[in-house]
Amino acid sequence: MSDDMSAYKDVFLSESAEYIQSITDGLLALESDPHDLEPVETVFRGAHSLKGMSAAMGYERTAELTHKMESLMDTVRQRVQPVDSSLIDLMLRAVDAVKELIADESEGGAAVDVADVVEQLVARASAPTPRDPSASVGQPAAPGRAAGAHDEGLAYVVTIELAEECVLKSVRAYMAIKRLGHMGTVVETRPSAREIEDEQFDRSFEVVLQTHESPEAVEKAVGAVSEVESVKVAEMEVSGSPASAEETPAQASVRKAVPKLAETQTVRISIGHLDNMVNLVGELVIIRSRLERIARDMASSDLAETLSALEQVSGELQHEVMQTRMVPVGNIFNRFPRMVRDLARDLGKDVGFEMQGLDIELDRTVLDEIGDPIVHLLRNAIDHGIEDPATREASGKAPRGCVRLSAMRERDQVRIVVSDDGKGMDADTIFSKAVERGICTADERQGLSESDIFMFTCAPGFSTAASATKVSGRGVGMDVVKGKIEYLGGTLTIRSTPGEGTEMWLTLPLTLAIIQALLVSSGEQVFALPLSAVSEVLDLSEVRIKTVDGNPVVVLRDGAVAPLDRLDVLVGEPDAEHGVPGAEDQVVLMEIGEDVRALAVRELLGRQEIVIKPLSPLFKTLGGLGGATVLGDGRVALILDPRTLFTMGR
Amino acid sequence: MSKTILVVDDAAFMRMMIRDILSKEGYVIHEAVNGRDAIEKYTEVHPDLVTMDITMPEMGGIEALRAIRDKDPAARVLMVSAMGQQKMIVEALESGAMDFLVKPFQPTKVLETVKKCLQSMPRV
Repeated sequence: MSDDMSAYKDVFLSESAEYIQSITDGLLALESDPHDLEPVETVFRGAHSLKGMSAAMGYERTAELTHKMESLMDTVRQRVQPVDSSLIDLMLRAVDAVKELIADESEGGAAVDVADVVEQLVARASAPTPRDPSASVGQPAAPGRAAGAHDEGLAYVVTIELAEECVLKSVRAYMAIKRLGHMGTVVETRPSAREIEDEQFDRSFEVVLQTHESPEAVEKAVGAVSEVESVKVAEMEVSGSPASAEETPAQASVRKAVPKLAETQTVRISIGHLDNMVNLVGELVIIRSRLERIARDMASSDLAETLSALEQVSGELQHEVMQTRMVPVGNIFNRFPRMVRDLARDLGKDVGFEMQGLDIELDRTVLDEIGDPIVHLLRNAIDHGIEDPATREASGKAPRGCVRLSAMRERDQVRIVVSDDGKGMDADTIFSKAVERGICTADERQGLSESDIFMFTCAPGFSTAASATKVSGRGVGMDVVKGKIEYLGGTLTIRSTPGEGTEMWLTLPLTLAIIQALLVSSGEQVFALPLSAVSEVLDLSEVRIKTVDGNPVVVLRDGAVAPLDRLDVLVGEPDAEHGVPGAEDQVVLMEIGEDVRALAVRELLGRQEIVIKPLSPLFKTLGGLGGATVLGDGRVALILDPRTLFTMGR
Repeated sequence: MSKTILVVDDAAFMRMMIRDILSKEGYVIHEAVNGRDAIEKYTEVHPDLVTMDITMPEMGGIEALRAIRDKDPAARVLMVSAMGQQKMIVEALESGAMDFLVKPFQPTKVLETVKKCLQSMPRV
């Protein structure tokens, strides 16, 4: 799912392959010279490293197997275990089992059974043929090191709470768990190691530890980790002394822990399946609304009742499916600090970079698509926004510029803002450049707001070759950025003050496929307006309409005016009359970025969840439309795109 | 005797900031501008603690950390990182760094962590 996790996993897989190789080499070297101590160390260290790595990845079974290998090699190191071909054979078989197990566990499987090898490793470690009879078997392991196979000590549940202001919780958790790993064997973590790595825990987590150390020593060791607020160590309810080598209480506790793990197990599934599920849920929503219509027509209360139950269940199903697709924005933001830093260096700028709202979640499709646009906006901020240190100082600013990337949730939208405290944009300069480039004509200046003018920077071919640099390109950027955001159903707004800086606002829908819509009629046709853009619906008799420059406007409560358009005129219905709408019309107020627009519609048909079906590319060029949807009665309704709607027919 | 700290960061701004925070508490500060420089300065002044930025030109913090720990297994190194460098921090901790600080930081936090590092024993 996340970039971070797969990066971890790739590193784990390649590194574990290296360790497996060095263990194999070591075993073969040991076979040819059983008295050479160096390969013993190599194999022991390799197994130890594999144990730690796989425990960190949450591959408990690999961790257990490698732990047994390590323990067996420890007896070789201690000279209580002779090296013979049967030992080498056993270890090589264990290596093969590790390979299989890693392949299995890294894919989330639980099919490979290594109980046999584990048992033999344990048996061999606890029943060697001592070369030196004085070295007895039950020797307690040295404190602070991984315990021997015979007696793994007592099992404790260590509950660790991190400080509230802790920034990289996963790394702190890692430090704590690692420290525990030095004291004994980490059997299990709750939540799983993977979830901890993904920071999917609040402030506290639990570690099941088997150790010979005292609870006080454990508490002290973990408490010494920075930003650990509290540590609680409780004995696991395991009693008695080791009964036999086969069944120590510690192992019993491991077994007990297994079913518990299954409850929180995560499964990796391909995104294709998820997409299919979203589509199917979408279909279900459509069928449900068709049924609702039939129920209304039939006026059957039984059917209506069953339908309301169906509505609830399908609603929950939809929510769950959508939830599985939500990913924190931090997953893609995390690669930006390095990029900003490298870029600033290349350009000779001094730039500080701040990020906020990393835990805000977005649909993964949206998130995947939004990475490149954000990269482009960050580049622009550094390249065109932030001045070089000397210029900044000359204009009374701190030599170090600041670029900020923040995400915040607003109703069913997420706003991502890229801001800088650089030189800002000058509306006049941009306007004259736009005229120069033939994007608009000089006499259009009147009706344009500053943000309208800033949007010219997103027009194809706005940038001049003279201003092109290696970083920012030749104006192929902003129009692509704007296009991508609009494709995702979002909006781009630019705010800027000369000398103070620029803010790029990306407003994005949380999810893509299903939206809440207001169904309206233009008289002939049904259209769907995304509810996220609708701020208010008014009866025409409730509003004051004035005429400004010959165009009708609606006077809002606060005295501001919103341009009023008629839907039938915008969509070009044949018998549409221009001018002030009829008295029976309704007025829908919409917020589009910073603007408020009023839309007169013939009829309101109600609020409904609709499934967005993309339009064929042929229709995309029309503008004003964001897609189509199938209504409950089987009719097709076009989804209006509020951002381009009002420029239709102009 | 007051403890010496080697502050390693390519950004003069960051060095200044850390220097300000630490020198107020009586620590003696030396500075290095990249990993290579850090290794040289380390052999020269043998500081009690190194604060090491992770991303630097010439030689990064992790490489420098490893080189320093190679030469002096008792070296105390505190990593300084930006948000989003979890993986590198883990790598640094694996390579013997004692602790880490995340930019932007509070002066009290810096002092607290530095003190903690100076009090505990480096893992050899």
